[in-house]
Amino acid sequence: MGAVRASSARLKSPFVVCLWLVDQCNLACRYCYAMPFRGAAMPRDRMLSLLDELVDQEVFDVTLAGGEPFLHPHVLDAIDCLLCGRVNVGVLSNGTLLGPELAARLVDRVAGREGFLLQISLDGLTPAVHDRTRGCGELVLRNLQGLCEQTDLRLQIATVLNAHNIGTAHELIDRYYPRVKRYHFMNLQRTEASLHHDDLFVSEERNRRFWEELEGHMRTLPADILVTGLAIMRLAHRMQADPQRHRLNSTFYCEGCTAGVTHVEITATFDVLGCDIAKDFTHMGNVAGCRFEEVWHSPKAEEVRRQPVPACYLVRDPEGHTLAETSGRA
Amino acid sequence: MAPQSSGRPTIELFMYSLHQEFPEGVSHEGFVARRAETRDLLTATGEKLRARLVLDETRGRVQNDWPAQWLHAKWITDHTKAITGIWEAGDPSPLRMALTRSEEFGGIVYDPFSDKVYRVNEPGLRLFRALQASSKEGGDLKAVCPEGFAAEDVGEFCAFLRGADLWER
Repeated sequence: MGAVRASSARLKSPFVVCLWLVDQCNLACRYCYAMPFRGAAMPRDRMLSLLDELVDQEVFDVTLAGGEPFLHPHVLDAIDCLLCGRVNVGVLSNGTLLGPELAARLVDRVAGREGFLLQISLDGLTPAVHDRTRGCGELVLRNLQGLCEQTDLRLQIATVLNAHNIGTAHELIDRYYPRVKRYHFMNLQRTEASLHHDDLFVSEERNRRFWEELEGHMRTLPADILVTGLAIMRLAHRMQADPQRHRLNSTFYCEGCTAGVTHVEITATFDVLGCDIAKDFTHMGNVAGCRFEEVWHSPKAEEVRRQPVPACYLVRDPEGHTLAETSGRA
Repeated sequence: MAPQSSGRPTIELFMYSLHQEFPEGVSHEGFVARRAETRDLLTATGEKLRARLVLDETRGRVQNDWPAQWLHAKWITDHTKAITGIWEAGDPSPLRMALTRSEEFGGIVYDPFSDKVYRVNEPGLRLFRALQASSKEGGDLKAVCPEGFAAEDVGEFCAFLRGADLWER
């Protein structure tokens, strides 16, 4: 019985599935990588039967995303279905629709059940900062305040670091802790949308300084705050950390991602993708008319899993190069 | 009549991280070659473990390194796609919070604290679930020895869990 790296055993299903319930959004964030939206929404019956399949397959986590998932008329039924099946559920929302009425209905569905997380995207402490990248800042801040005060939902705040908020983003923790204990700071992705907005990007040096300052800031705060990604950036920037104090954030013995192997994405039109960014290179099949299991075990899915290079190696960078070329694996 | 043997329960590390690891055969060779180093680690149970760690100072820099930036950004993004770490619920026991599921080869145990994924055989899955149930009921884990399991095997299995910090705190 040894602790060794195991061979790639065939799994009966992924561990994590992200469903894009709707292919539509009421915002147009300047860095969005899900755009362009085409307006589709998962039909209720197939959506629920698909979720039943994922429950049967013992998937650990299902993330409901979009677009804006609360634009889907049956999103609460989806949450209900998954929580009944004891599957963890995360919902990624821009927060614009979660006023008192919808929040109360959501609480009714989630009450007394574990394994639910609501992520609200918030790029700044003030509407002005938030609106530089996302929009509807005043509404989002008001709704988030309501969620904090009127509900006991587990919340996570997601923030995309950019030139307009990188000096103040860490203050979100001061503002919302202890009500919110999870913070998800993301570096700005080079997406088709964001590449049109040079003013959003920060230098690597400024980015490094943010993470260093955040690391320092965390030392002044209670240890029950989870900053997803801090472990990654801590190692990327070679920052020192107290392993006990930051135990929750210190997991990094890794090499990359797991597209199509332990994670999949399912679009509003039921395409199954291994990766949400390398979409064009990880199409595994479509589950509109067949069971998820059939696609998961299909030759096409196996092809995605067996690509000689990770799919992200095939995405072109701003200069038109692929990682496969620059790493000599073309 | 002696109880029927359940077979020897086994558990092994399957993935260092649920979110950040390439499958075998699709490794991240170019990236890792520039930024990783191999080290021999000693686990808490005294076993040797050879691991590739991405932590070397000179090769770990991301400044002006587009692939590194891209991948780090992607890894962070992936972390939002799963919420398995339910540590906020006030239950600090990794044993209780671990997620399990059955597979053809036995099963999977996922530790949301460390993000590590373990692979167990069928007896291992049953034993882990028995330990987990006992822990949830507040029972004495030292006394857990389900029918059909040899006490020595259970002890060894539990030692692995303690070594992996997949135990009560």
